Amino acid sequence: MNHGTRLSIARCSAVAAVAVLAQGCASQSAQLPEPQPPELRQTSQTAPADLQLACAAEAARVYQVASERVLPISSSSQGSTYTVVLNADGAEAVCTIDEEGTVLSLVRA
Amino acid sequence: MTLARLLGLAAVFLVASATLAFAFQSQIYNPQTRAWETYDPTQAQRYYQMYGRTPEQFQRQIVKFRTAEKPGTIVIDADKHFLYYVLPDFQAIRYGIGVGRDGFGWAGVVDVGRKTEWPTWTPPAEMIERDPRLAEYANGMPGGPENPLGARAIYLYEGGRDTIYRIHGTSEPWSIGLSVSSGCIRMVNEDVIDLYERVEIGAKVIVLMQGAALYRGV
Repeated sequence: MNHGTRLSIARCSAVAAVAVLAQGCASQSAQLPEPQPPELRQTSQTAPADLQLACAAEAARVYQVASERVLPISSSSQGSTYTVVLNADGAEAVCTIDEEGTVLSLVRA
Repeated sequence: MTLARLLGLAAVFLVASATLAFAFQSQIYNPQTRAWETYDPTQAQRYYQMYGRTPEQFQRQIVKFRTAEKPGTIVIDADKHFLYYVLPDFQAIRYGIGVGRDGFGWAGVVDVGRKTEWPTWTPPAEMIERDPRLAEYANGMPGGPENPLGARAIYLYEGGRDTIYRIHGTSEPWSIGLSVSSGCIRMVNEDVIDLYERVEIGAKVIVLMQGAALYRGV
């Protein structure tokens, strides 16, 4: 093998190596997962809106007030139950409800 | 009243105030510091620039919603920055919203009085006083992408009268999930267009916000 042939083989090998490396880099970058957005959380421990409204509906029924005149004004979580304070036609009432939407108690404040 | 009772009342007041102030925050996890940080306008703008959208929980989605309210009703949970459009079969479409900042929030039962596409925005006199650059829009800013009301406005009425509050789009989509408005409910333009197509004039709108002033009538 003369010097020119050896040089050509070396060049081809170098080009092939670069190609393999480049392909490796490309496939590696294609496999990289997209950066995940950071997690967001809410510190609010209010009752879910549907449970607040379930309490309001129960108060409207029990106190015979139009549903538009009853509004939840605050709520808090106690593990698997929630306490919801209602404004029922100007008077306050306190409702306790569980996660399934069952009203456990309703009393005038 | 004894000193002990006065101190007790003061303590209850402080705890209640702290609870209310704390109740309305969202927090974002910072992997660098491994700590939860307040999701404020700076964080929200950074998030939107980086990911081109609002956080997943504020994106439109169908959720379980056990209510006796009839389909077509809108329920706004301002504390959690969610707006629900009630569907049949105990489901709702949940959208992310921006709501009134401290002192500008409200709660009440109102209804949809009218709707407008690409509404004109007229800044109130007090707003122009705070920011004189807005004087050029004193007679109204035409609808368009730069208009703060965005693509659609849904006007909220009570007893047949305009409450001055609206559900509208925004030119600042990053602000969804924050309490930064003057009492209006803002949504990204794609969401307000979706809601606009669904909601009917006269639909009931229930706004829940812990510790907020009750809109008159309730």
